[in-house]
Amino acid sequence: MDRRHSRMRPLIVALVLLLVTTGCWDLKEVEELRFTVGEGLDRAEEETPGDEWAAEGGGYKKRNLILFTQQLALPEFIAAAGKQNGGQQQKPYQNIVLTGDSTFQMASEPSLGHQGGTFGQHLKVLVIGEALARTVNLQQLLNEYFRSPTVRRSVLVFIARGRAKDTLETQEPGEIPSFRLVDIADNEKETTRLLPPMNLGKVNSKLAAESSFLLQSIASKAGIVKFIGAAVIKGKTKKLIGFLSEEELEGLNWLTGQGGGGAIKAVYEEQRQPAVYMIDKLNSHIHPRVEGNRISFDVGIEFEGRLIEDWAIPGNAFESKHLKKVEKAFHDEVRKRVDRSLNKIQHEYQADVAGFGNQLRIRYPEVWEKVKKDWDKEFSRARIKYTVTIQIRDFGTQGSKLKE
Amino acid sequence: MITNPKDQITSSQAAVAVASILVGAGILTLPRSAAEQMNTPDGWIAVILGGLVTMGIAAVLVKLSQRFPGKTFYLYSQEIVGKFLGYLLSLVLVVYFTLLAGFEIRTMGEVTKSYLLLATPKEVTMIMMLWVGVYLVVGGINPMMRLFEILLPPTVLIFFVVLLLSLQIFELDNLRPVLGQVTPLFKGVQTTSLAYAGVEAMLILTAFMREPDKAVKAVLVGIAFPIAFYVMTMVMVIGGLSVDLAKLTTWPTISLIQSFEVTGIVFERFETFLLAVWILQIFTTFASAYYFAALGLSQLFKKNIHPFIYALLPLIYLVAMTPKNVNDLFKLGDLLGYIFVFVAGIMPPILLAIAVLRGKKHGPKA
Repeated sequence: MDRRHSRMRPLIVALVLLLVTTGCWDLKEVEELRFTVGEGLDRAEEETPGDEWAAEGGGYKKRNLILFTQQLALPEFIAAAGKQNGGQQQKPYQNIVLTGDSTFQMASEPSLGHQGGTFGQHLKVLVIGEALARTVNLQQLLNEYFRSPTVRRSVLVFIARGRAKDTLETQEPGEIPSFRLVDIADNEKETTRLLPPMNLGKVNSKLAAESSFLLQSIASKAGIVKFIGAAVIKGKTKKLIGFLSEEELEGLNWLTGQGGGGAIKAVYEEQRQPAVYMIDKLNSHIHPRVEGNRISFDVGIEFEGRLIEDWAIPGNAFESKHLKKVEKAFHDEVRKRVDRSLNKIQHEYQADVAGFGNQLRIRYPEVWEKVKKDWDKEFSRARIKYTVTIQIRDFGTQGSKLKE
Repeated sequence: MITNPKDQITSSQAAVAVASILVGAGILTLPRSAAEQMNTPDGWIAVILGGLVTMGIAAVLVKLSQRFPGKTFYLYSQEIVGKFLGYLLSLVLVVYFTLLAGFEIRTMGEVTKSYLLLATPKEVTMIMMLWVGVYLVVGGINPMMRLFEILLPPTVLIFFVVLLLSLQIFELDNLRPVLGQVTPLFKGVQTTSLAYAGVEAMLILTAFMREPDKAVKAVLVGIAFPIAFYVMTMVMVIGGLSVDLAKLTTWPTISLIQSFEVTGIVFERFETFLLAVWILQIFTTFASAYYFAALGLSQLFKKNIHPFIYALLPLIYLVAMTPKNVNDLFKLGDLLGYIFVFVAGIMPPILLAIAVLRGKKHGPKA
């Protein structure tokens, strides 16, 4: 025993020395890293930033297909912006814009002109410009993001109305646009006019299943970014085919029971005054039905909530008759809006972005196997019937405006 | 051969060893191979069925070994089918364990290089683990068992907590319909059974047990752990990623953990934790395979085990470095699956039948 130990000792010492003396292979000084927090992809138009070094022998062989915006966080200026000491305000972020045809090559290009290494593991958002998304297959465009082990699948994906580059700018001092987008996407529970966040992982699985889906669309005006409706990506072509407006998205969210909060506003009969319903709970069930070759769907949408605003006078909510009337008005409003949204996805875009196919797959796997190849077409022919139930659970702390 | 009373293990140690050996590289790739074969979300059912099949196989292995108390497969196979065939079968087992050790090491190297230490050459992480392995294996079976006992609880805890965190992207619809199609299940069971490669360890471990008559119970308890691990993995990965995506991802389980961020507690990302405990389990599988291969050689040649341990080291490294890329590595995994079917599923029942027919049995030494 002892003899063996004495033989092992030098070996162990050597091993420990090796560990101590070689240092850390993967060490990168945090201060010297450039953190990529957001990236934007646009179709390259006339301008070709990054190509101005051609005369000196710069550049590499590429097509100018994509205008690539890389947003770097500059942590040192986040703190500084809080002090508001006047003078030149340094933005806490920097956007590098380049053109090319490979997202990987463009992302590594800044290594030639900027100090420090790029660190991509903190990428939070990816914004794709409308024009690019309409013309390029997203599965090809995003392939590098899906492959790279350092890109997390929790990166949020957006479609920009207009240019992605513009949505990665802000006038707000001390703010990083990418982080702002992440924060807004978090408001999902507060409104039904937002889409539940779609990250790279979910986008990847939709693309892999060849099914149509929605992406949150965002727009920028005068340095302010807002979430506006949704972009429809067609499963077959994997390209953007159009948008849903905020109201259309809301109608669709009602149909599919997604999101929470939000309100329904209806103008009702006698006085043409608006009343507003605060949605507490929203539930929806899609029941597929197969009869012979015909596929149809029954949808039940249930709302539970509160009458929060009523401009009618006296509008006595203590009276059940009045409540019934308001309920009916909300009911009609929901039907009108859902009809419009459904018509848009079913007939105009012919894209099942509401998960009808998914329910068919679950209930009728054999039927699904037969129709899944051309599902969007099949979907456009399907009959969809739905019922809306609106429950006014209460009317808050005041039931009427006048004593009758 | 094993007369040293120090080299005996308790029944619970045997159960822990079986659990530790079975849980290895497969955890990260099983959802993909199952989804590929089945194309339905019922992988978790296939995993349970595969586990039950494995329990049956394990019972046969143990029954065979129990007929020869205190003897490993390397010794008693010669008694059953004669010296030559026994040697040959034992060599197959040694080769299998060597390949398995190399496979586990390389898988560890690949994943570490892709996800944890991007700039460190994978050779370095692999050699480190090999060296630590030598250190452990030279100590013999008891230190190994004690280490396995220490490593299993944190593995179970961290693994389950990290997987449960993925509930935030879990979609029940991805797991439905349950049993929409039944036929893919048969293909699935074939695939998932391979994930339980490692039960053949009982061919050797039974000999070390202080109470060999409890071996069946020990191995069944041991297999229950990987069943729980695998069911959990399948449910969370398919539920979080969907079948279509699980088919496409190289390491689906890591991709799942990369699909969400947790805000509000100190850590946002959990793949590092998952990989840490996963590497522990890779290590246990590797060390066991390494030890069993060395033990086989030492018992076949009736020599001290130490030279064989050191001699196998470069061999395992060579095996590990042979696959040119990840595809080759997965092919090596498939090959191991075939040998596993032979050494665990085909060979033991035949040997048991022969042993019963020829009345070969060693009673307890008087």
